[in-house]
Amino acid sequence: MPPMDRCLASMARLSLAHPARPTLSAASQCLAPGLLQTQRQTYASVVRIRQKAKKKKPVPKDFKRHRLDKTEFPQFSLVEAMRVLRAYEVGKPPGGVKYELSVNLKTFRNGPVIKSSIRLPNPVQSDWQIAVICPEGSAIANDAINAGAKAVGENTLFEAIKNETIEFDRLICHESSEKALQQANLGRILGPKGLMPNKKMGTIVTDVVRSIRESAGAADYRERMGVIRMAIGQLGHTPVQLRANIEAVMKKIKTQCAELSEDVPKDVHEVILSTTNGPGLSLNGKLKNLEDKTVPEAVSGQM
Amino acid sequence: MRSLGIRWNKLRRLIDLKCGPGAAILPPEVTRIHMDFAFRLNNGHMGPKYVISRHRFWTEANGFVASRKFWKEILPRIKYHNPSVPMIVNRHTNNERPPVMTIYLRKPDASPTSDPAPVQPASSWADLSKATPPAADERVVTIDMKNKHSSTILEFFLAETRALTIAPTKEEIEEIQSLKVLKKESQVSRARVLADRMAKKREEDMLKRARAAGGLAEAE
Repeated sequence: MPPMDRCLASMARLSLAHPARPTLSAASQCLAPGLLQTQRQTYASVVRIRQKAKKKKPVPKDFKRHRLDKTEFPQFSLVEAMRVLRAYEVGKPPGGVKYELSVNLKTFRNGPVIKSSIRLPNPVQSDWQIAVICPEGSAIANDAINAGAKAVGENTLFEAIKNETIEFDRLICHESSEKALQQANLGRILGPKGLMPNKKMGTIVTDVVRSIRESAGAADYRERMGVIRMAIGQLGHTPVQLRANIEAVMKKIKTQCAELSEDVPKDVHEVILSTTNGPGLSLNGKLKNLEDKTVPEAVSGQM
Repeated sequence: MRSLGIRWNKLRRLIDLKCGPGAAILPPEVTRIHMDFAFRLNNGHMGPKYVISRHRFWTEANGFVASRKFWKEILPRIKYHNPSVPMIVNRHTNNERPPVMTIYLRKPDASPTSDPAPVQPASSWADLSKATPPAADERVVTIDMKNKHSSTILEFFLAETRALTIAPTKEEIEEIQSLKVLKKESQVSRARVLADRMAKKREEDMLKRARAAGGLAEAE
């Protein structure tokens, strides 16, 4: 039991008519800023916690590939696909329109990528403008000009590149000029354009003439994000010509996939044909389905 | 990569190529079709001249569509159903020349002649592929496309060639209608997603502004 005097004191305070202590709701902001501040701070901390709770999904190891055979996704024979695509491209000047091929690969996101160049049986573009870096006035330069090079030389060519007057779309370098090329510091200009000569890409060579001949009808391709895309034919090609091109590319890609080690499996998943303005149509690997009414002759020849 | 469903629905829209105005099979007499019109639309290269207001002239919904619209919207359908018939489009910048369609038809009684027909160059956007004179066993029908709707041009075309129009089957009509429903649904969901995104963005902007103004912790 508390002592009597304390009880009395409290009673006395009660009995005194002193003003009630202001509660927080009644107090204006200027009277109790400290209290308000603590309240707000707790609110801010709650928000921060909520942001932390968001977790990012880990990126999957390989690219997503749907099982087409399971879903009955529409796939076309080559003749039927060409019929649709030619209808889309009707009335367009043939120079600006090409058949395009995308090959979806079943592959990991990291690891080696497939890239190479191929000489198509029926070239899409044959008039490449080729420039050759080689000692000026040498026999190699004369041979290169005879083989169809548009520009040859060392310093003259470097000057032209530095002035951004590039009038070629392929650049080959002779082995003897490799040092001069490295000293010229042209990587910053040529690199982004994909023109920088490189031993790995087969553009620093000993036999320039042979390389020009090979490169003249060749088409480059490269895997990007698990897909290889390349121009595969002119709009005037017949189904048989187009099939030859597609088969040549697929054969090379498949051998390249097989050459890789088993740790990084790579496989062709889907082949899609489209044109510059047309839709992408998944191919089923046949020239002509049995129920197709279109004959190959109908989709060859003039548009 | 796009999902399989999106790709699938895109491919379903190929039915627009199969059905609609222009879905017709030409008789075997038709050897080739040639269209000649200008890039710009002045002087009747686009449509009828009786323009009520400038605004209505330019809206497609009113049907003021002509030679270019015919090429863009109807010719692909004709080409799909007649893949072996060459269809050449020649475009130029001379609006004084009237827009003309030329249809080449084989004469029914003509015996195959030995003299070669003049070679028709491929489609051109630089006036390089003018209509060639017909071969010995061919006759020519021309349609003046000046100040005409694309639907009117199609009527003339079907009448001149006596093409057999293909009516859509029951399944195809159902497919077209289901695609229409899909389009409406996608518009609704697109609006909903946009509203959600805008709300989120508004909230983020507000937070950003509050932080830029000095932050809550420093409020005195």
